[in-house]
Amino acid sequence: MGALAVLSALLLTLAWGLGENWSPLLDGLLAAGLLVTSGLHVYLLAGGRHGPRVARALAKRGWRTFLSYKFQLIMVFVQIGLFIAVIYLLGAPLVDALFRPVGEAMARYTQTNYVVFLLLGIAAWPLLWGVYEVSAGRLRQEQMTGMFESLVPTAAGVESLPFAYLLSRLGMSVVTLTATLLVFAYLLPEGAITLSSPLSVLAFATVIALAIVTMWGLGLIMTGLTALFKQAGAASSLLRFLLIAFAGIYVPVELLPGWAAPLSEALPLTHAFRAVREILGHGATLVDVLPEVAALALFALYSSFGGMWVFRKLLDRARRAGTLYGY
Amino acid sequence: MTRPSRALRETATFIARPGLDRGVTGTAVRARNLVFTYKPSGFSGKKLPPSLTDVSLDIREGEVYGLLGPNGAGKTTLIKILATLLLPDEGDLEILGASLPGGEDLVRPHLGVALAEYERTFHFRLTGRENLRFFASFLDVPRHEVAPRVAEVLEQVGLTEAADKMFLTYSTGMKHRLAVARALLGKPRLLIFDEPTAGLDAATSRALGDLILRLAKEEKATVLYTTHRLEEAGRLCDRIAILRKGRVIAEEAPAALRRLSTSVSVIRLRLDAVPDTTVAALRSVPQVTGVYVDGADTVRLHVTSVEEALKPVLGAAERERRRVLGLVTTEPSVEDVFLQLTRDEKEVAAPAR
Repeated sequence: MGALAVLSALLLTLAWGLGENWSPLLDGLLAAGLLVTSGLHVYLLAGGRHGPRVARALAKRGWRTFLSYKFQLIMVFVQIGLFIAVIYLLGAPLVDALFRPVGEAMARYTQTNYVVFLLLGIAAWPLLWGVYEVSAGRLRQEQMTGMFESLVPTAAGVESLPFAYLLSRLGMSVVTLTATLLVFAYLLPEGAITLSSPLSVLAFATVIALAIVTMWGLGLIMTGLTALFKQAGAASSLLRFLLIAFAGIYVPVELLPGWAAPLSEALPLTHAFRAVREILGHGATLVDVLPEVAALALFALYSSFGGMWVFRKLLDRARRAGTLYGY
Repeated sequence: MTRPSRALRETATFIARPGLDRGVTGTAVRARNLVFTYKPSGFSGKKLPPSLTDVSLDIREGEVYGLLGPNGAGKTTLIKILATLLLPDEGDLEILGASLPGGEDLVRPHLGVALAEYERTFHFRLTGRENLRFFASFLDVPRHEVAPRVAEVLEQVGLTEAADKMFLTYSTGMKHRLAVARALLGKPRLLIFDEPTAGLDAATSRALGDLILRLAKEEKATVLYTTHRLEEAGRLCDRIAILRKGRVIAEEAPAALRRLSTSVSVIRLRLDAVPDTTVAALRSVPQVTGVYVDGADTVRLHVTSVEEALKPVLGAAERERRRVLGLVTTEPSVEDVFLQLTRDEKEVAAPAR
């Protein structure tokens, strides 16, 4: 596990050290290295031999349940159909009508193209918060239904759930994010969203992967706390508020008052969104956003190690206190 | 040498279950001086009394072991400790040869647990079969063995025909049987059932109890069984432990348990009616240690001696102007022993109704 952390650090140091001599090949290698490293890191930290199998079982359970609600299923397809029709029929004029006034108003305060800024926030935030929710909310839900007590005395145990839920969520998230970005690319003026080369695609994936690991770890800390302190889950809304207000998701960080700057820099998603906007908005590659990636890699390491440690430790504490059962 | 296929390796693991020596000690569970107190979270600082104060027991491999006790005696707490859901504050615990805490990973693959509040852990919109397949993913059942194993346990509990119906359409008895099937899925060596017949009518309860007994013998598993149905425990269990206020106060085979209570004799008295005033009058007889109403017209009296109690008991009934329709003296049942042993010292007679 430590080797993975060292590898990430080496890659980042190398990138920093080479500076101007950095080549596209090394850029690609760094992105691929970080991407693989973060995946392996999570797998070794939480996956175990049961993880993928449990992930498939969870996905299957969710899918079967979804299919069993026939009316809901019809409504989902109707909604998707309507959405596509509205996009096709109204398209860019719709975006113009919805966002131009706010874009023009924001132009008084910032040089940023606010409409693009806002849409990127809208695209990436649900994905990242969804990952947090999957490790905090869904696991808490399993505990509330008494599932922890059913799963503890099994070979895979409750410890297999965090990785399994992450995996089962990722597939859906990638599809949603890709679809959203494609829709925005269609709606926005040409050049507003730029994935200039395969390198920026790789960079985008890397930043998102690191942010996902970070949010997953934070969610696990919350689940661990909930196993011991039943009402701790309410603190999630505070984290959500802090991120939305100070991490530059919908409001540019430079518009925040001076006192908020340190707080903003201390939030992992500030770095993630800054990097994502550079990559998608200006075609940057990984080396262009190295400081943000380094900060995010550190957050990912701390948060995932910390998350799994807290989760396991507090599960044991809950066994001692007798609070493993649901509410 | 050719490497065995993955399926073959998985099957070997499923059957051999490495890590624990089967039958070396002949003891499935060895508990010594277990103490446990629930520690509620929050800022109230409220301290709860201990749920288990000093529990020691040995459960032999292959036996059906019953846990009896009134509400709050500590049965569920003990069950949860043995199911590795709780960690005792004090005491030594060995399950299937592995010491706990520490040996959880060795023990858990061999456990089959059905807790009392099992219902909400099944997914209501999945079928019985789908629910079991979901839970099989958490066990060491090899992937290619899941479908046949699920079909096998469904067959064993008599749910084959209802296997593909949604769980929400199941009757209470069917839900209980599905919980038993889930506990059997991983071919466990130790089956733990917390009141598996709670909420069932007498006939269904008897059938389910018999089913558990038969399956335990078929699977050669050790069974730990709690129930409020005392005669059921007497019928099914090889040995019974009676818990009272967090302690084991008796641990015997059902027949020996009946003999254990030498201080109690039982008079079954059939009267024309059993109003509260009559119960109070019978309770006031010095030789009567307990009065229990059995149906609309019968009371069961625990007395220190039938010879000494008979006259004052009939006298009390007469003073109450009750007509005596029948009187039988009987051997104490498991239920009588249970009531005798778990009677609170402060209560001269347990509540009659």
